[in-house]
Amino acid sequence: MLATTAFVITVILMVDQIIKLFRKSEVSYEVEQVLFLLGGLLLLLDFGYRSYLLRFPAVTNTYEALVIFAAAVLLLLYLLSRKVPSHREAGQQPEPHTYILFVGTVVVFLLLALASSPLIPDDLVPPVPALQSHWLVMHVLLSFAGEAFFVIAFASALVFLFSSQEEKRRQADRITYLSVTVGYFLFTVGALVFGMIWAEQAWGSYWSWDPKETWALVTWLTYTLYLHLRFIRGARGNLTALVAVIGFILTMFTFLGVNYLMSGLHSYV
Amino acid sequence: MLRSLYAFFSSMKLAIVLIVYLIGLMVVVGIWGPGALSPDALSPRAAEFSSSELGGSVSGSDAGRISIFGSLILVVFPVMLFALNLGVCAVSRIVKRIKAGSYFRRVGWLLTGPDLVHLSILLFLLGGLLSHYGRVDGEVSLQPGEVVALNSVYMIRLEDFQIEYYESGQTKQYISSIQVLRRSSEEQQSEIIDQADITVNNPYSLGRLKIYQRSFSTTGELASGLQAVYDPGYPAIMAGIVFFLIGLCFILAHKIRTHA
Repeated sequence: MLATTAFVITVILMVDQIIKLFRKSEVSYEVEQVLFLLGGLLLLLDFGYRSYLLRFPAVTNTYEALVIFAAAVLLLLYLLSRKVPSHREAGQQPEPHTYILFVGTVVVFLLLALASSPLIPDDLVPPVPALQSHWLVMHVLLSFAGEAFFVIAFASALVFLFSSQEEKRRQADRITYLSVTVGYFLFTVGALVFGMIWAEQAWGSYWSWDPKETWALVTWLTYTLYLHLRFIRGARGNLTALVAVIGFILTMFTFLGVNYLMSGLHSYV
Repeated sequence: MLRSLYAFFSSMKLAIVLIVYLIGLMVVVGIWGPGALSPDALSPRAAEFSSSELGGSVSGSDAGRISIFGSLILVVFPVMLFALNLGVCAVSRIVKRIKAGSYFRRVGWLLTGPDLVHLSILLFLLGGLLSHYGRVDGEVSLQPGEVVALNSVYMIRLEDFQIEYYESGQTKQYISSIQVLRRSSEEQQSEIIDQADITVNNPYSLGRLKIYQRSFSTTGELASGLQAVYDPGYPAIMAGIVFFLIGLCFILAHKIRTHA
């Protein structure tokens, strides 16, 4: 029920943003700020309620992962929306942030649409022994916090690639870089470091070349490439933006694609 | 000649080429690699009882690793080049910053972040190498009351093995209660030096040896599958993890300071 309400809010947000993108008259974004926050908090409540029922943090199946991921993105979009002007004068072009917020909302919509679909069961299933670890909880929460930043990086990289105005591209590039930097830190600590520690505790080996591990490494290397490319003069710009887009595609493949195309130790999430 | 070699190995362009190569390699591993272990760490399996010393046997995942790291012009050479590039880059940067006095300015030590991260990756590679060549693991299926030798000094006796269930009937936990015994000089005598419960995610450590709850068997009497692991790569990997975390925090703190 809580997640469904958040999904409805996301749909309203998306429609509202589409209308405002094309509106020529004066536009206010204050309602969006409230809706981003409300949607994120509802999903957090859903997480809290399921955790209470399970007596364990609800991070052990795909539905719960989608909810956590969507909550993190919505809360990040809320923070981003607070950093930008909440009004647009009549006749003014939308700021790059407006597009970034819109793309972020579309990603949340897709995540929650998938969570609501019959493909993803939302049954409350207590964790199997291998998942009963606080390292796993930190692994999942920090990974999705990092991936939420990658959503912003993806959206701003798209704005960069499709924008022709230099000032907009400069702003979008800065947001991409900041988002990748923070996301990379969280993803590295959560997905790789805490994941390795959990794997050692549960299976006696830090690394097993499980498909999800391998694809998480591919994702990590791709963002590593992004950060290193920025040191090369001439590589900044379209190339780095493209790498940020590819990084996000790999993030989503690692999260969802691997589950359906390959089996492995991460078949739960 | 030396100068141009140094320039080559410390070049960012080489780093980028190698990262792109590693991405390609990992994509190949991700698609065609061994992967696919059992999704449940504790699926029932046939008892493979052995009362001999644990060790020497190679598990399924190890076999997979050998097939990846065994065939390896495509992996060993680029990884060595990558390690060299990381090392030379780090040394080059440290030398430059010492000469410029950057480390000695206010919070200049935050600049060591990238060096620590690069050093940690070298430690991961070292740990992986030691692990690949030195790791010994073995699995044994024990019924309550049975004893198995871990090495020439220590033995473990399975006192009890329980499976806990949720109300729904789903498995909650596998619990092996063990006694650790030390052989004494007299024949047939041994002393109990420790007692512990081993559960999934809660292995037992005996020096550098770790014992994991690995599987169970319901064929005949209930039996617990315990795995003993000795991995010489663990210290390097643990050190790598510590450096990695510190390095990342330094990088982030430095970025926040420069951004502010």
